[in-house]
Amino acid sequence: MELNKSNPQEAIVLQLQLIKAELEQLEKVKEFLKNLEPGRKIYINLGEVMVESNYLEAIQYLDEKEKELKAALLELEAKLTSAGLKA
Amino acid sequence: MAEKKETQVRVEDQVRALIAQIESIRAEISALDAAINALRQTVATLRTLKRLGQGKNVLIPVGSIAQVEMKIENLDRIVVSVGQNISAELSYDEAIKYIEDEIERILALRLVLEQTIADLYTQIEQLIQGKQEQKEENK
Repeated sequence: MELNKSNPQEAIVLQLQLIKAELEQLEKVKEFLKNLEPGRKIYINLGEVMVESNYLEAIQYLDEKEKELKAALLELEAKLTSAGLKA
Repeated sequence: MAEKKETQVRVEDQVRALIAQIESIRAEISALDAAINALRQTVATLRTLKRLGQGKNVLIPVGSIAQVEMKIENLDRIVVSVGQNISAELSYDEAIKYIEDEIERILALRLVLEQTIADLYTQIEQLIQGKQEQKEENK
């Protein structure tokens, strides 16, 4: 029975790990773009279509993603805290 | 007697949980293998395209059912997906290196997962051994 009770909390912990991994990858991509030779083309993947972009737009795009991920992270951490667990 | 039965059930639950973890990790390893194969295919395709030379016609897939003929203009620049929906233009050599580095990174991760499976099997063996030793003691 204890095993079943812990499953929703385990799911939250897993989600937290996934978001942290995504944030880590996001930082790596930002770093990659910073080191990219000037003049190299950058594209943003919008699903079926890839739109040509530039360094500033791409960083802005990533910053917005980062904000969303960090907000989701805070929400999940709050849920865990209220459940009395630490990630 | 009831306590012994409870301990036995706990061990069985733990073994089941460990087996479930192993299966989950095996599924992850399969996904990594598929990713590695796809990346290796990409490198092979890029090398072949480079060898065939510029100016050659190729068929580019459009959806899953159609193809369109196009001419290779320039193989000096390759656009590579670098994560988070961002792609960047790299030189041919940079692109090959990037993809090969990605393959190495995934292989390293695969190794870690395989080691984790080995550790989990060790834990299962220890649990079963402990249970058998307890049974011997109770005889």
